Amino acid sequence: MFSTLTPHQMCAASRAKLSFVHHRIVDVVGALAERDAQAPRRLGAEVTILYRRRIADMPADIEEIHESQEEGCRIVTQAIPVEVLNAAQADQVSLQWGEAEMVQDPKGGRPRPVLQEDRMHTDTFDCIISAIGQGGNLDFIPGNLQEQLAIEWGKFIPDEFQHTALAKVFVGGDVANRTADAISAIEDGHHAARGIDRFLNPETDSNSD
Amino acid sequence: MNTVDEILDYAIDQEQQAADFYADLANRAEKAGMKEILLDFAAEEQSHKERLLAVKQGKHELTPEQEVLDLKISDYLVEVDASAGISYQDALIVAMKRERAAFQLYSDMAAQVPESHLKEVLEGLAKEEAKHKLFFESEYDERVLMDN
Repeated sequence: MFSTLTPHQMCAASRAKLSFVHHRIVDVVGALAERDAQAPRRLGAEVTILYRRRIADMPADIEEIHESQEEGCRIVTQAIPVEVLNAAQADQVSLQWGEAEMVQDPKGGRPRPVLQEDRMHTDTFDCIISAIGQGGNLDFIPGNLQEQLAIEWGKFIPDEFQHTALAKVFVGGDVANRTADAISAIEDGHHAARGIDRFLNPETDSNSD
Repeated sequence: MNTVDEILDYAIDQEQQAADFYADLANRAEKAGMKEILLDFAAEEQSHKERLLAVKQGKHELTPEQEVLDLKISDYLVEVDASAGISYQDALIVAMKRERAAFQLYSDMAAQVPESHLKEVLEGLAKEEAKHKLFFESEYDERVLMDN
């Protein structure tokens, strides 16, 4: 089965080798970024989260957002990162970002942030975590197979049993759903397990729990 | 280029060149799904050309007074190469950058022309390019920056 590693998992995986104590960190937000920010915060870093839209627009569970705030992560909303610059000290980086105004999408989509170039800011940090979302890297799959697998916008389109158009390929997790959270990936795994059982034993009904 | 017709001919040729650019890239596209997407881009540029042809024939009017939203996304993105292995994100960046350059060109030309029909046409063309830029920037905001 295919799945992707989230920035949070990568951050957790490297935690043993890193020390964020007394460091200032900025987290440029994407999905799951609250979790990305919490890990260094718990290790003592002063963490700022920059997010282009409003808290209501964050692709995260509201509990995760509240937890990160309660743990001391500072969330700056409607803040668009523009450029990473050299800082005065060699071991630091500066981040230029601008305030954003939300404007309505004339086609009815969600409001879009528009950079206000007269309201730009530059802050200096020890570390920038670029948590700008993730997707599956499917380049290893030959082109002819990708077409058969029905991939749209970087995601597989499986059936209810996570089965693709290729007989022996089942998919789940971020590369096959929009929720991009662990519990959905586990659910996909359950569906796929039933699907694989049905595939191997077509005469039995494994659709029941 | 001194007359309205010459300006429109130039703009129409630019749209055709853009359509050819994406069609050629589609023919060389290596990543699955990109061929179709790039052909969609080519069709979009072709529709821009058709609109300008209609303007030249007097069947459609440019609207220089219309306000067009500027998301400013392409203004701060680094240039990318339009290679055969181009991704959807990079294809959008290429498209946004091209539309932005065209918008800038017509805006600069309009700024140097005294009040006249020619100036109105140049401003109208700039607004057309701003609309094209908004189209690709909205797509980038929706597809690439969906988590941000």
